[in-house]
Amino acid sequence: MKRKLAFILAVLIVVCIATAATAYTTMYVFTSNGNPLNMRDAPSMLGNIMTQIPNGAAVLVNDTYDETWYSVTYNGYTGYSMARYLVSGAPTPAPTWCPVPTATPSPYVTFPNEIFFDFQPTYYTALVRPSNPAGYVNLRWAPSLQAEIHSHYYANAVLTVMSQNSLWCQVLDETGRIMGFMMRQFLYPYYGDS
Amino acid sequence: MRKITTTVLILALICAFVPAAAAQEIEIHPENAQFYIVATLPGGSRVENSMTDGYFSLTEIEYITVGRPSVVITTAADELYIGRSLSDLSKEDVNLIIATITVEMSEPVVEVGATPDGYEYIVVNESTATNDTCDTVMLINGYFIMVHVFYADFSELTEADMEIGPAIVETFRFVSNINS
Repeated sequence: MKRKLAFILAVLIVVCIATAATAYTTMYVFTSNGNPLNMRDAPSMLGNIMTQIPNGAAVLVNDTYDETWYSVTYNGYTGYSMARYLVSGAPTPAPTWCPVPTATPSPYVTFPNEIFFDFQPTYYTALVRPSNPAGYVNLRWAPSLQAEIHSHYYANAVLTVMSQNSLWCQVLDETGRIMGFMMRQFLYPYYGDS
Repeated sequence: MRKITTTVLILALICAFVPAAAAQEIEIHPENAQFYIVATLPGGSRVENSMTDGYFSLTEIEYITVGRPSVVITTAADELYIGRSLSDLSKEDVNLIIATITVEMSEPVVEVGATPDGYEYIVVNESTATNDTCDTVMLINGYFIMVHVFYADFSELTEADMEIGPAIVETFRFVSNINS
């Protein structure tokens, strides 16, 4: 009886380890122009294209190779795809544009208190992903496109998100000890080593 | 004798300053690209910093004299535009790229130009009461190249400042990188 129990326990342990070793996360392809996303046989633009994943398709993310490439599985293929085109939730159509703030003749811009409402405290590490791969994202003093820019951040910069609402995140640059606001659509939770 | 000495001193001073003011050529190597870029820096500027990070490269340029804007040249590949350049794209695709570049700008002014070699580029300028930046963007063979001009405090750029990006872009020579 004891031997049987030990055997069953050993099998359970092996199954648990095997499951943990192949933990998957489901993500979705989202490309701004609706084109499919390449899956390559290596985490590099020099890798051969194995297949193309349609925009909106769900993929299994096996691991984060680095900030730029994820190991993914789709339709029987396992390879690497660019992380900037993988999103956690099922993609929705991108907003056409944010409302244009009303112009003010004064060089000093004032903000209504409402822009600071609805921020929920949180805490996670995020990577900056500009809408253009060679571009940058602004860190502002307030959650408004009219707010003064404090600094720029380029692709794969690491920030800590302290609070957020539907459009904006309050972030901390732990390296530069700067806190400010960044548009949420340019921040991606970082699943790799932090 | 005094005239000769004075002349020699003046010539020496000129020689000391001319190299600093002369245009400088630099090379920019996008990661894993089959080409690299030879660019001519504006007179009186120099490379302050350069780095590469996976698929992204950055070159910071600063002017020797105080009171001039910063210039940052970045390159990155885009999976969505492999092997394609701006001139290959439809008007809709170009408008989409403009939309992504201006997504954070509240009052952008957009112009499209072309280098003497025929490479198209987009110039985007945002000038508001609080912020002023000017970006010149190219798409060459699947790689985005951006020349970003701004002051450290994002104060107002002059007309001459806004010409810096296009002027640099128009010196670009794209050299095949067979050994990459």
